[in-house]
Amino acid sequence: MNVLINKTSLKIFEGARVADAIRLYYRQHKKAIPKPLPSVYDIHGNHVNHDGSLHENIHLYLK
Amino acid sequence: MNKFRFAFFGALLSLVILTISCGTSRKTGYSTQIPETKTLSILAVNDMHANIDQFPRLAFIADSLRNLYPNLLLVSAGDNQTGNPVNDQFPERGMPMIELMNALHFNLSAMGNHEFDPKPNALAFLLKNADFDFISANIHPKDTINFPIKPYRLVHLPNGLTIGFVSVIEINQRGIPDSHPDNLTGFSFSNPISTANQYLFLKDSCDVLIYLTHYGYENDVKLALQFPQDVVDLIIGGHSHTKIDTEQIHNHILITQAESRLKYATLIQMKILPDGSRTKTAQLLTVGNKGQVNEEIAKMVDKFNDNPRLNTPIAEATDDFSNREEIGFLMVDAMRASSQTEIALLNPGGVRLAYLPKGPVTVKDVYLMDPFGNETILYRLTGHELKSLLTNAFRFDDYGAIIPSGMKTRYHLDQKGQLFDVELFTDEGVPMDLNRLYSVAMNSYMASVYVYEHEDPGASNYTTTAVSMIEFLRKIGKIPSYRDQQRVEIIK
Repeated sequence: MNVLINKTSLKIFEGARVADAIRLYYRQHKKAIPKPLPSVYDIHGNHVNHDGSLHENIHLYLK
Repeated sequence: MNKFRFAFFGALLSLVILTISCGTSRKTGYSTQIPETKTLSILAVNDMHANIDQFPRLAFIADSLRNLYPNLLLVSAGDNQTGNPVNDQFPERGMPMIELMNALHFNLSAMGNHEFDPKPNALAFLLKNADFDFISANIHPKDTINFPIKPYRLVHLPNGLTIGFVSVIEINQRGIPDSHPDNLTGFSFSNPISTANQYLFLKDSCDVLIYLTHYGYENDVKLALQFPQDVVDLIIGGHSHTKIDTEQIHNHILITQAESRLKYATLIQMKILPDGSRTKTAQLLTVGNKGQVNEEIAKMVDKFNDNPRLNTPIAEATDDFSNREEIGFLMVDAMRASSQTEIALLNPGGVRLAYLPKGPVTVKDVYLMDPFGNETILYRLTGHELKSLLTNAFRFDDYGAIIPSGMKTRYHLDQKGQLFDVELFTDEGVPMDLNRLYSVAMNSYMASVYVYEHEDPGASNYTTTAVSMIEFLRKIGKIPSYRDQQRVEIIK
């Protein structure tokens, strides 16, 4: 499954949740994974919970 | 009554996070004359995930709203199940949620992907015992007697309004909802959007047409944008756990979702004016677990929480487990057995219990060992890819080695203590063929934090590692000793 976080395209396992994608985002950028994980928003500016489901080509933003 | 209303509105104001108000003034296609302004009130929740502890609070809010709006409808956009051992390990899996939803007089629920988690026989039992209907238009059961999932439902209110509810569920790239394939035996699924469009004809039979979806917010927007104008009034959604606290209107359709686990609920109100025009508002209400509660429901929840089954032995350890590594061997063996892969891997930080005494092992013990709620992710990896994974994981985990099942590893460190090679062996000590493909299971945390070379992106089996372990322990009954087992060697 392909997802987009900020401007980074990520290839992640099918069934991944928002938290999985955030962790992969930081690892792909060779950065430490923050604790707690940062807030996430969809393209409409809505807050999305970390345990939310992802779908193909979803675009999320970290603030 | 006036005193009550004043007190309630005071409380409600403190609950309201934001009011979404779209003062639309449009006429719709339904031809019935409505001589007076009529109102529709809906309290909507989604993705409750068996968070029963919030039910006393939700019940209080629903009761209070029913005093104000006697025709209030209480609906769920799906994923009522899975996420709380009290519910998930109940003898009749999932029944606490059904009994509580019955007690709160839910009118309707969408089917979410986690409704399938209890497995088909248990799902049939839950559907039979629910006092409310489950709907989904793109789920097609072969057995419609035991799985009476309807595509839509028309609700006739005492004030004369007829409300049409249609539901669709998200289908993943494999053409099924996100659930273990075994749980979906006997069901087929169709495209959510094309199926949703097949039910637009209901507009001719109702005053308000609502899509109660388990499709994810962004998909709900796509759905709304492709609908013809002024046919669908609302989309009440779930699945993506999106908190909608700002005005979200797309193609004149108000879309709502209330995050997850009953942190919130959405109060939706529509007014249908005599000329057919309508106004819609939505308020995100805080549910949480603080504030006034319905005492009767609180007693029900207390009874469910006092579940002796969580402390009932499911297996017996024939020896003490005196360190995390031994417990890790048990956990990773359980993962391999339940996922039926050749190899399973567990990160050292994935073991949260350091000692398990000889004797009975309970469900609670399993959740102490593995409290994270991670799911099992399945891969096809070559030996080279496995080596890349183990190398990167060793460095990432500050030189804590991955706990393997179905293979052994040998790590070589140089004089400075830096890793320079990893050797992979079969259980019998034979070097593994690095060019061969192996079926591999690991948890979802590992799948997201270890960056390594691999072609297969992997796929969840939509079962938590804890649930797999509980099933494994129940099956084996007696847990063998892991004392003095050695699967990982580190050579300096």
